[in-house]
Amino acid sequence: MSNHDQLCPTKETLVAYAYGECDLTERKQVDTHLESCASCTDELQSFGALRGALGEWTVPDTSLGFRVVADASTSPAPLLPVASLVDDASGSWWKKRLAPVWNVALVSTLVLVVAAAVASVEFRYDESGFVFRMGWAQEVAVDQVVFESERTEIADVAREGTPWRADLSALEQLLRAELVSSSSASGPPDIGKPDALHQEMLALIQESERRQQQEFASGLITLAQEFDLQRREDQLRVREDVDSLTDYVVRLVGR
Amino acid sequence: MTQTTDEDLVGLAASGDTEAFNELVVRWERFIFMLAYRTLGREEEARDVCQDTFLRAFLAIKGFKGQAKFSSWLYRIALNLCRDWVRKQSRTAVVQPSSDEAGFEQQIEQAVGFPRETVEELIIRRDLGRVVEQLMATLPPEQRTVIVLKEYHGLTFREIADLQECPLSTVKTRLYQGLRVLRQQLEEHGLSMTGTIVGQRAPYPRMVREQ
Repeated sequence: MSNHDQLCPTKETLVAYAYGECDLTERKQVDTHLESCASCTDELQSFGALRGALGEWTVPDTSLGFRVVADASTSPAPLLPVASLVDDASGSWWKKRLAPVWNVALVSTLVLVVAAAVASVEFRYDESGFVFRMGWAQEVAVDQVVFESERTEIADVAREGTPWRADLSALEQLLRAELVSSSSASGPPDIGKPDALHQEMLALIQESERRQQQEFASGLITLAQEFDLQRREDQLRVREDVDSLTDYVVRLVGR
Repeated sequence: MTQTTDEDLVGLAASGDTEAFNELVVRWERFIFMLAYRTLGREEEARDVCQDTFLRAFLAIKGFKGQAKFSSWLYRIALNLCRDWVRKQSRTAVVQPSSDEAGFEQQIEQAVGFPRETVEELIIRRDLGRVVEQLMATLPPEQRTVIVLKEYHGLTFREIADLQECPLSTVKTRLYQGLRVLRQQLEEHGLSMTGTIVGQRAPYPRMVREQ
């Protein structure tokens, strides 16, 4: 203890005392001193109050949950910049790095979305069949199934707007044809049901199919009509707009 | 039941046990985040520093020979990262005041983003926590760091001296000066700092993890 300020403890001693880091001898000396020194007592009291105030400063309850992820081969690219990892040049930082679990999920989703956007992957199913296409790649029909001979007039109607419907109906018909050919060629030999019953069933199925196709066709026609109506309405509106604009320009020039 | 010590986990982690390291992360991430937050005053950046601290620790765990407590080692990494962040921010700040001491402080304030709300406004709202937050931000970094490490993390003066690489007496002086400035500022804003004596019976440190 230094001998300044009427034997008051130094500020270092005082602060050590306030935080309980004096040794026993020192503490006893300060205790004794405080009994007769109002200014040191005040100082310590005010530090006590100040520390109470400091205790009010809280930290936001941020979610952390960091984890070292052991295997990078099944995870996306490192989340942290390489520059911050150069401490350990020999370490294989790309094999193990730290990331919150939700972050991994988020980034992997993001990577997939970005990859898809960059490659502009396109899945399409139209009259040329099932098509998978990348942005820079030629169109490749993966499974080109065309049933030209099987197409009905419904398919022709459908081709205008929704070509996949044509394929659907074509597929339907193909299946039906297969059913008919298999039943007429080989029949169900194991069961050996009467031929008349079989025929009747086929007729019923065909009837039902025809009805469905009719409903389907009428639905499509309505859709097409609505579309056409909307198109004409739009055309009319555009023409009106253009007309009013022309009028305005004419008036402007005339003035 | 005896809990596995940090040292045991460090040993396991050094021999390649990732889960042991993750257990250390669980134990310490909140403390490191709090340290970074109170140093930087920004949640997002504090989170980044926290993550980066553990990343660096993980990469260097084999080289950690137990020369210090594991937590002290983490604190050192985190404080270095905070310092780097503040420097980087002040370099990239649009307004560049002179490079003297006061200028540097100003740069830090700009980088840290204080003050966002005036102390008077906060006092009216009786938001003492935010008042403290803002006044702390005006302290010189060394004083602020000592207060944070002592008051909120309960480190010993010796540990702080090791972290700041300065004599023990310097740490005590910084703490004393920092507390005096804070007290003075609070009193200037009409907040009296006369209260009960805390002394060595105080229940501090509040946030020390039992080893």
